[in-house]
Amino acid sequence: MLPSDDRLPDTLHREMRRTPHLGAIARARVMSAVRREAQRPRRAGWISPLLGTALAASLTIAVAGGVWLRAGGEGAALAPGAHVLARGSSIRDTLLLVRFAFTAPAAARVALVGDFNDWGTQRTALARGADGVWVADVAMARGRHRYAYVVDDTGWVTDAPALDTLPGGRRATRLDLVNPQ
Amino acid sequence: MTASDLDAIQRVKAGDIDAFAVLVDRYHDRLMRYAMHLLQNRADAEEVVQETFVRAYRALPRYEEREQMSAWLLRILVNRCRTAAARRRTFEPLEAADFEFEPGEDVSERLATRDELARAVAQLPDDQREALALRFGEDLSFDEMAALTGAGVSALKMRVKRAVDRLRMLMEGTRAAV
Repeated sequence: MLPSDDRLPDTLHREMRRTPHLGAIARARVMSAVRREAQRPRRAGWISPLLGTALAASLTIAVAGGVWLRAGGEGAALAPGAHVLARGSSIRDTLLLVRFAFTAPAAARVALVGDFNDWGTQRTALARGADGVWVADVAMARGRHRYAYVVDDTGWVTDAPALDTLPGGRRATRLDLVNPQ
Repeated sequence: MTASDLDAIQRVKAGDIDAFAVLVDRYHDRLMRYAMHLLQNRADAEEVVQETFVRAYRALPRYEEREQMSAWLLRILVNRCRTAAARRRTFEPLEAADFEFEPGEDVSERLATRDELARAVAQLPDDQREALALRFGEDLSFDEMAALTGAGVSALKMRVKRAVDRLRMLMEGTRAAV
């Protein structure tokens, strides 16, 4: 029974602090909703949409704090400014948010593989957006990376033009995340 | 910010959606505690907590790591509860199975107290219920409450005092009627 005297605040504190334990099912329902959200095309909060690109296979950007992205090595800088994050990002000082966009209208599945995910085909799936453009936003450390796309679990596709040859002979696109300042 | 929070956040940002489950596992029940105090209806509380996590996922790129994840989630939840309070459904408390009890604890007595408290809190105005839940349920200081709600410290102290006074009156009224 709740006290009505001076003990009431202590009782309120004790009773209201008591945390329910609602079990795995309740949490699984939440994760299902989050996964559904993750399958939806990204909204402006993540990064400005850039699905109108006419590139057959294109790497787009994520630029935060004046950092440039270079795809394809020296001299291939993408124009900065058009793809700046809507707000300052907490990953600004250590990581860059990079958007990968790949046009494949007929594909059922597109995965991004690279040295940043140990070339795992199950780790970074692109989400299908408008007009057959597949998109993934990935937090990446500054420096040089290599990546490719795997289409429908079998087709290995690279963005032109800057390609490196991997051990084993496969080709991958070189990606330099550099800061011009 | 715990190390595992930060690790999970970075993994989610890198595309590992499963890493978000770490945050859900860690904070779900605590958010349900607050939502139940505010809404007093389990279905409503589950709905707003789910909305909170979905919104948090959506807003993760804007999350500032200097802020505690728990405080960030609570801020989202407070706003969702304010919206949901307008369409609050009937009183539907959690059940005994939703809580853990100490060995030897009188479960009946404890549940009676919880039920009595929940019914009394449900009668408070929304702003007083919010202040009470943040102060006693989340153990926040008045400064933390002010930062979270946008209300002034003096106003929040007054809300808590009035809420406690109101609960005291409700308790005395209940006993007088018995």
